[in-house]
Amino acid sequence: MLIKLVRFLRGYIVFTLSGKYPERFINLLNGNGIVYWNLLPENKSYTGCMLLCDYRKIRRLTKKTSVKLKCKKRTGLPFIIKKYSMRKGLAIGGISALIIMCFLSSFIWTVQINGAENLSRAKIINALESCNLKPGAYKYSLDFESIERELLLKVPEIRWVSVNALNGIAKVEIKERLLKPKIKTEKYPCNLTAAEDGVITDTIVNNGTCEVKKKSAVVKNQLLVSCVVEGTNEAEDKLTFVHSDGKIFADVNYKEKFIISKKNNNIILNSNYYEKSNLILLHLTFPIFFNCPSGDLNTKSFYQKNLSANGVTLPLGLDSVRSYDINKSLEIINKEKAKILLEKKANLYEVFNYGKFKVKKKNYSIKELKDKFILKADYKVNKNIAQPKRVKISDKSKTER
Amino acid sequence: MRKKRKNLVSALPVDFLYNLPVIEFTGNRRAVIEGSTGVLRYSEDNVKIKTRKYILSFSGRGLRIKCISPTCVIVEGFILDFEFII
Repeated sequence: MLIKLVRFLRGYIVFTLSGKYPERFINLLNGNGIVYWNLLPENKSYTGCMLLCDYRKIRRLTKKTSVKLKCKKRTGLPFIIKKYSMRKGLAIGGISALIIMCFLSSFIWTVQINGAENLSRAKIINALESCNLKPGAYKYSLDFESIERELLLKVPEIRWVSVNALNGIAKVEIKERLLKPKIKTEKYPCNLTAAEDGVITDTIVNNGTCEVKKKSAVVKNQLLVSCVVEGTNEAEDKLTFVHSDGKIFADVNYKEKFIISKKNNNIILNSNYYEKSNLILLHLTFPIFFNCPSGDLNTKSFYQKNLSANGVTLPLGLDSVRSYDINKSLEIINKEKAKILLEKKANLYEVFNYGKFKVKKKNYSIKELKDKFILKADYKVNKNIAQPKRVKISDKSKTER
Repeated sequence: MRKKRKNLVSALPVDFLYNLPVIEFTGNRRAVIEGSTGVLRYSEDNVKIKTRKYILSFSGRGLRIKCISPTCVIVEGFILDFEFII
């Protein structure tokens, strides 16, 4: 294979040999160290192959031996170059394509992040951008080892990172750190008191003495779990102060009020939009359209699309900003619509405020006033109301500890 | 002294001593000739190779010179007859 390639690069000729003494010619070729191959006898003649540079040398020998040498076929790179020597544009195009390819491959086209399962990709991308690793960065000016070190310092959730740039794609391999759980190390004596008024439903006490019972009502700041623990044996007949720990679940009642006015200003998006697009090449942007929104009020949406081929995102794309006109209109709301809107508001409030807790009961009542509607909501929420409260101990009691 | 010289001579290979060609056959399909000095005849049915002492004649069908160098020739084909011409 390699020999064939060398022959192709140097160029070779398939020749036919005829005459009186071809054997003598063959011996002379051997004597002069001329390389030839595939010399086969045919009807009163021979065919063979010879390198182009040797073919020029043997003219003297043909005269000497009175044989006729005829070129049958020319193959190889020198002949191709000669054939296309008149078409200079083709060569220029090929060379310029090669140069552009080399130039573009010296930039980072895309950044691929692998292994980030729980970590935010945006956080990693921001950290990488602060280390100058972003699309359009000059590849040879980047020190990947220092980027890895900086990334580890900037994002402590990363355990191991490897950054490799190959063919314009920066691959960032990440292993996330397993965070160790928080261990409570507080040892100071404290009580657990009620954070809110409520009715106790369940008690889970890990440390301390429980002072309340199920179904008992408690008020705010009432003692729930005491830090004073009595010894059980006679030998341990002492009072000890501990760091109380536990959960006291209670039903807590809440009242909320949601208001909506009868005359409501509605904001409606127009179906017409104006788009302003930029062409992105690496980190450079070139504006394409210059449309502007007509109204004073508008809202914008941004999006970016990059070309991709064979799963590789190319550094060429469109960055667009869409501006939608906004129309304001005054709407008079009736009771039915007000109910729907207020209930939506209440549901949203529940999700954000009582999302972590169990809502046992809720009750809505709508009241219509002169210019507004009011929704009164009553909630019964089951939640942990225990809150630690540090106990101050005098010097005498310290000796007890 | 003469005895020692005789022993030394007998230890040397014969082809080296008398300029004899070394011919190696692979069945009747291939013959490697070392010590050739040139080609005297080259056709499909007969190849004659000159060595220093003899002329080697190969007769057969579809004979061809696979490889040739100033001292070595490889003849391939269906060899039917081999002859030393002294």
